[in-house]
Amino acid sequence: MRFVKFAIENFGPYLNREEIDFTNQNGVTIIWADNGRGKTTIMKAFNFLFFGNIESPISAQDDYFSYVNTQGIHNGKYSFYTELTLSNGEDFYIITRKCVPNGVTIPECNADMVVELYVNVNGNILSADEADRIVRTMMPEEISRFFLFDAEMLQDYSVLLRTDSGSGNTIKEAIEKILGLPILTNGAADVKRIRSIYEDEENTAEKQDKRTAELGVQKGKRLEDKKLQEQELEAKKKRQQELLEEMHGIDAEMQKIAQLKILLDKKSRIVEEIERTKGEIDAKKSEIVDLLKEAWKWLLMKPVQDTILELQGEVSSLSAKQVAAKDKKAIIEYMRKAMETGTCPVCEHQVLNSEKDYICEAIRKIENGIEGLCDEEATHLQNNMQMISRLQMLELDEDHLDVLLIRCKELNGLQIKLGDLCDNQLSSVTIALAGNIDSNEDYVRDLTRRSLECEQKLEAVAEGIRGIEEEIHKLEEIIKALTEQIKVTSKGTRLGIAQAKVQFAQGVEEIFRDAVGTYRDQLRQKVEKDATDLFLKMSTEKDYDSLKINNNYGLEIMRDGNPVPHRSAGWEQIVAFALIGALHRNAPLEGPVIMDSTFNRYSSNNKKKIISVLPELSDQVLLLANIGEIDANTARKDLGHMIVREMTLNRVDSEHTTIEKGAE
Amino acid sequence: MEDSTQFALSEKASKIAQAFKNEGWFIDASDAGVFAAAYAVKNYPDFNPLTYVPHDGLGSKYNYSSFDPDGTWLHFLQAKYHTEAPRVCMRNLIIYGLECISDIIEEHGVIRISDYIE
Repeated sequence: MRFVKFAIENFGPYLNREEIDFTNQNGVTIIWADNGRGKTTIMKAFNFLFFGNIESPISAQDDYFSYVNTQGIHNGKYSFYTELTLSNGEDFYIITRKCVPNGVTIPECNADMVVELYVNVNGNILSADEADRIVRTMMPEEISRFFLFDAEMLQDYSVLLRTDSGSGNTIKEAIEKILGLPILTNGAADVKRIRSIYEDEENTAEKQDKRTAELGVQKGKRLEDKKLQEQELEAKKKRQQELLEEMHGIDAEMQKIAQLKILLDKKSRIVEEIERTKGEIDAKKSEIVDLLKEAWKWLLMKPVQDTILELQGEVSSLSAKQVAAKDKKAIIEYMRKAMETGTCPVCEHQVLNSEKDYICEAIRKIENGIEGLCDEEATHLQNNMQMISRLQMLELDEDHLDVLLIRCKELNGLQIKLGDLCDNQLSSVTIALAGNIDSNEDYVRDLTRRSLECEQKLEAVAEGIRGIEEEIHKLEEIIKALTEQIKVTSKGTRLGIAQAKVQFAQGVEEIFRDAVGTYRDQLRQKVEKDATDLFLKMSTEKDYDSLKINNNYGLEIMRDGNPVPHRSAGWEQIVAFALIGALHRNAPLEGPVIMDSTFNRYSSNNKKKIISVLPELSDQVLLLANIGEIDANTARKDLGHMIVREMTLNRVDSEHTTIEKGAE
Repeated sequence: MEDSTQFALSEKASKIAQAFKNEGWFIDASDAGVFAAAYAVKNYPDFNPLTYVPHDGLGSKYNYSSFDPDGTWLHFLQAKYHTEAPRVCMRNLIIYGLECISDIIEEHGVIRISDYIE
């Protein structure tokens, strides 16, 4: 199964249709995002697409209505959908799951919403039942944890180390399902049923044969007893399964209490962060207010400079006129002196009589051309010069402008952060808490009591099962002995055929029984080997030499041949990663892995190694990466060409996120 | 144009000056007025405060000195507009600047002070 394209619209913060294009190359697609942008919503959207449910973080009930985009609601759009285009072998599928109003114009709660599934295979629309069957086959919910997971789910795998855990049993069953074991176990059950039918046929023949009738009747009684015991065993096993499920429920509720504590801690951290951010905003604003008081001076700087230039232009023009008149008067003075003394005062040239008329004419012409400043112009010149001087004395500078702009930018960032904290983080944790179970002390005590009771019942049932199995074994021995006696005395052809059929069925049943055991052992060995291989690639501890698998598929870290005690949460997750990778290598069902940011527990060196191993988990891996948890450049370097696409969740506002191609 | 040391802002200009104060950007509404006058001078060079007539005078009343305690504006306005009525000129710039900012806020919905500084 390969994903081609995933689309989402009006779901959570995704107001418009947003798409994730998976390329046809094998490798890792990374979607980068900060907290609160909608990574978890993408996980929820995949869950909704495959299984039709959107569980709230705490409540077990579906929470459709709160996932309709609030801006969408504001615009009168009350439905949302997810759509996946994928190929599976030769076939091309478009799976669309919608949540639409259930006949009401304006839905107000979950009861007003209905979920619809559509599947298009190679251009043909399937019926609703067929669509449901196809999607369930494509991604059985029981094994979805190996394809869609986050850090919390990785943590769950640690229960596999406990043999008495209800959750562990559920995960073990899921593991055996993904590994294809039910093919053999179902076969074994079928053969057992057939063998029982043949035994009945054989016994009927035994009773009809005069030579063996008496022994046949005896054997028939034993067979009846055995059947009753088997029915009892079946009932006990069913009861055991129910108790394991009840235990699983109790485990889940126990986890919810732990989850509640996490949520309360988270809320308290968010509230503290909000208060801290508000304090920072107040301080930043106060600094800005001080700087703003002088801001008008910076705004006025250019206009003042322009005005000075304008005035200087006028002063310059009037001054030039004044200077030109002064220069002409000086020339006339020189010429008059030359006329009076007969010698030029500049070059000492002797003025000839013939030149005197020419000089007189020149004096007259220059006198006519002199144009000095009028009174008004002279006053204007003086005023302008005074104004220039005053403006130049104004204390205007831009020294603090840059600081103000930086502070404004910082304030803006803090306000966005506050908006995210209040609108996204606090509200989502508040919604999660609102749907939480009542976790007072009585409840916790009651839960602990129920857990103990359940364990005791499980023990009693297991004891009962052991007793019945022993009884069945005894009966089988008696039946076997009777059958041997009957064989010695019997001669009939009909009985011979019936005996041969039973013998054949017993042989096949034995083969299946051995096959289940052998296959299980081989799978465990393969999973252990592959998980060890992946684990060693991710491990930063040189003395950790392998993983050892138990009957539950729990994996112990081994050092010098001994299990490492008290491993940390981070190592639990690395082991879980290794297990998932190993299961994918050995599973008959192939598909993409989609993982929400799971890296906050790791050192940078661990992160580097885990990221390098991602392409080995599956052909297609979609990583929803928290920008703060993974360094983008390091990830690119470590994955190289195995990064097939990068995308970013872009926050338009608290209720609107877009999926953009490329990294931030 | 006759100059005057006492004047009133328009109702719209007064409201936005008060909003600036209420939002905590300025300690006094008059500081917001001075800021708006400088904003108008810088960003609307074609605006002529000598010919501008405010819509109304229904806003807060001020003494000119509360806007220009050291006479900086007086010198500037006289030099730039060659006017004998710099105080009225200042009033008109304050009103025009505040009303322009008011229109922008109405369009965009929020007061982002950095938008008016750069």
